[in-house]
Amino acid sequence: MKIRIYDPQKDSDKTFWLPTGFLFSKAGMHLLAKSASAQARKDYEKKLETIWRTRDELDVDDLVSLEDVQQAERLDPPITEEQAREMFAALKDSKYLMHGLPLFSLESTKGFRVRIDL
Amino acid sequence: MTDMKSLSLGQRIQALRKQQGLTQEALSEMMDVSPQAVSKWENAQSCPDIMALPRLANCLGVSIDLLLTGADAAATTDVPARKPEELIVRMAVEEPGEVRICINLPFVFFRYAVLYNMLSFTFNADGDEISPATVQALHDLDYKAIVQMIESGVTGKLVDVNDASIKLAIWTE
Repeated sequence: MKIRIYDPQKDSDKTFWLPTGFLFSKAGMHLLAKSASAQARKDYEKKLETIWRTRDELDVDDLVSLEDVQQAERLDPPITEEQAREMFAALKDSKYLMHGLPLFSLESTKGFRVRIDL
Repeated sequence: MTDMKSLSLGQRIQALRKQQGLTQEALSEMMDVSPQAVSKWENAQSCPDIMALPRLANCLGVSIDLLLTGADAAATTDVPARKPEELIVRMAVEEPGEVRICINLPFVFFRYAVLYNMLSFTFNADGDEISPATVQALHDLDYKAIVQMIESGVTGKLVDVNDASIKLAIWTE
């Protein structure tokens, strides 16, 4: 799974990769849900702004901290392991249908963009 | 009602886009092109790529014939309907002046996400949502009914919410 983030102020983008299976882990599902919140978006934007100013490369650790994972691990899983396996297989098996469409894209009015491709 | 036959292709795209209540930005996002590209189509400075015509016609809610000529073909050929398993469910949520989010899920995956309540889970995390209006709109949707509609062969635009605080559309491709 490829995640591309574009910063309009820098007029540049950064890309990093994440195993698709992470989405279906307990931590992945809780972080995904958390990322849909307005506050989380602002937090990530702030975090990214800092990273952009200080680093040349971006990796998963910049976005998902140990605390994030530990916090998610304490919560109940939203689906069972079997259900997660079914969903993962469905996504993997139908990847060919996407024809270049992103799984997720976000664009703020400030021009900040996130795009996730399978 | 605009006479589509009397319009140029660009004028027709613009008229159909407005009929659908779409801005140039919204259409560009649905088409995965820049807003400038849509503007150029409408101002006859360029034409959409031929490979993009099926998607453009789908976004504008018309047939390719109507898009290109302003009239549906008198005689049409039956095209075998695609199986639900071959469809992508596309969701676009826009909070005007804030953010626009698009989610594209293979139908098979979407069906599981509905069955296991993953959409409700994702759109309602810890009570700290995208925005109350958006969450309300997303919660008001009957996702199981959407799955049933797709399974029974309904395609194209399935949901279209358009008010001052939120624009939400769900369609299949």
